[in-house]
Amino acid sequence: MDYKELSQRYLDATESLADKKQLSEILDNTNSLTFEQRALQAMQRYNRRQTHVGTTINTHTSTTLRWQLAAAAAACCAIIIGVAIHLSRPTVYCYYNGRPITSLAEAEGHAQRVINELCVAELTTDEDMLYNMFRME
Amino acid sequence: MLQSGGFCVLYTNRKHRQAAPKPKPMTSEEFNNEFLHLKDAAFRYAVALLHNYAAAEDATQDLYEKLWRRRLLIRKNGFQALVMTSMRNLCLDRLRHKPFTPLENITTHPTAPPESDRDMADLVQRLINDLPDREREVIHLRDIEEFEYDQIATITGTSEAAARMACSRARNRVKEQLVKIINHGL
Repeated sequence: MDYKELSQRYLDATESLADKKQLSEILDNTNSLTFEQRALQAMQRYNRRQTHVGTTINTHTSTTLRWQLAAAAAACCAIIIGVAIHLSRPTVYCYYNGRPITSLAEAEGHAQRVINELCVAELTTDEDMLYNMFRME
Repeated sequence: MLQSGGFCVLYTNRKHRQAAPKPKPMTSEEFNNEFLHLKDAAFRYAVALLHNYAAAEDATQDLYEKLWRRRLLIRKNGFQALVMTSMRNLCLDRLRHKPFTPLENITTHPTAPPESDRDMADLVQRLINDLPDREREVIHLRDIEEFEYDQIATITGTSEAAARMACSRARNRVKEQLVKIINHGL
């Protein structure tokens, strides 16, 4: 495509980005320019120069928040683990010879055995027991 | 019969809607990448609208702060248009409340035909800044940011034909003024 067609497209705003680039190249590589070509070249150069204008604003990701989140997550995990351990600990029903008994059936068995081993003859009536308790020597 | 036809249409529409892939919301990392890619374009657009560098920087910062808060709701598709449209709305809102003092370098009026590239660039900038708002906006988005005309239409809230028309008028106006100045001086 020649200069005339490209410039017409540019001025009619029917150009593509490739056409715009091509027009810019043609104008930069032409030695003797007409007034119109100089005007178009100035516009193209101004556009190119403007694309270098920028801002100093930047993103900043705070690491403090990450540490805070990590600490909070660790604390939550510790609490959950603690509660889980506490709930999974077995219930101690009694101690037999200093050993904790965590099985209900075993505890009942030991209790039954202790009752059976008691000597019936040693048991006294209620009156005897009260008498022994309040007897004045 | 009519009702069942209506139901069928509704059913196929729903089916079609379900089949369409839903774009994912933007993560912090994606937001940062897109931000770095677009921040200068957004800033330049704010300068073109507000005519003031400090105000443009404030507007860019405020816009990105707002977008950052809503980053989990923002979809990656169309982020560019969202940023530019939001920037336009923000700048117009600010201009409505408080007009800013114009840039220093656009108040200089050359009295002789420009000789250096810098003089020419300043002259082009002055001529562009003298354009009507809509034309200035469109020529900026097309020539500097290199948006497609349909995107420009979305950002500025006009039709593609109107965007092309405004751009053409702006380019012709700047070119004619430039030719006049190069030929005769002011």
